[in-house]
Amino acid sequence: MYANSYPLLAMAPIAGLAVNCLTHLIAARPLGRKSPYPPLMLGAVCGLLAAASVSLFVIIRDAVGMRDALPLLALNGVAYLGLAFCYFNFVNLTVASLRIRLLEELLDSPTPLAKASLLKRYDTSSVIDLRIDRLIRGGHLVESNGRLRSGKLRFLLVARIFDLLRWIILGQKYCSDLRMKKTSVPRESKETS
Amino acid sequence: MRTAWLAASLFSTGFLAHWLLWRIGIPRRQTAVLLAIFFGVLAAWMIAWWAAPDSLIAPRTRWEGLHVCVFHTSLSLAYIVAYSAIENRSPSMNVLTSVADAGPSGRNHSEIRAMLEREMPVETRLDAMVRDAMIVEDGAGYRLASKGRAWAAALSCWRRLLGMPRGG
Repeated sequence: MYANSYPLLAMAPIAGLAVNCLTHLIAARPLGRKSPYPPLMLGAVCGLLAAASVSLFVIIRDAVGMRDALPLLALNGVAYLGLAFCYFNFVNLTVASLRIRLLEELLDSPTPLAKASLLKRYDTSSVIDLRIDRLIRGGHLVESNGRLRSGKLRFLLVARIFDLLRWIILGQKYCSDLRMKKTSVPRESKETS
Repeated sequence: MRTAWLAASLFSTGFLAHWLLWRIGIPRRQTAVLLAIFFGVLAAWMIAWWAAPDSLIAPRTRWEGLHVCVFHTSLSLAYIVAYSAIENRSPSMNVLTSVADAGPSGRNHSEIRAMLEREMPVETRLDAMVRDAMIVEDGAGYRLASKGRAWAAALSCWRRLLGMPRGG
């Protein structure tokens, strides 16, 4: 059916990932001054267009019937989105992960770093301030009259979807234990608010 | 159609094996077990393909086989990456859900800080990285283990290429 072109079809998601990375690399400096995410999104969209274009090129060139064309397009679309998601998370580690920050600190230091020195540079209070500030700057939290309220809902929607997946995969008891451990507000804070 | 069916079935088999195993008991090293399951299923399929090349589960050509492998690898890696967020809520997600659950009144800074202080002490991160063999602690302090050095070098290199400042 499409013996000569099939390799191109099979590699379309990887070609899309290559375009994604290249676009991100080019756009990161001019578009990434305020936030690292616009160039990432641009890379993802360009990569998707590349993967789709390569797939469509093969499908049209080899006159693949609709019965095969749609599943093949869907297959390549999903495969590309999986790779793009992995790349997004790879880059996001450098943006949001404290562990990676600590690793880089150790990488740049010619000598071992004492615990006291690391704790002085990264005291919990300033790390928390940075986290809250990032959520406010990103519009996910809105501050008014000294209180924080929900802003943009997309990150919250992602959190709820993960809650559902956690319930399906890990079970109800695991979810309840996690919720009790993580989201309870200490009583003394409520009394002083 | 057949390639899509093969690819979807293969990934679904891996996911079902994972889900069933988790019903029996959640393993201690979840990421390692997930990698073993998904890539074990892929390896088993490739062996079955080699042993029975004319069977229903075998692709027609090696390029179709590669196509299935690309799909399965992509989706497996994406799921394993997403699993870390399924396994444990990130501190930021906890803050957002807690503020949303508080309704129109929201939460004040001290409540959010108290929640994050419980979850985010830097010492906890350092202890976890020692446990994961990313860093080593000795008399002089902390230094990178080979695994930590590989991660730090790869991420630092890519971050500098992108012109991004350090995050965290």
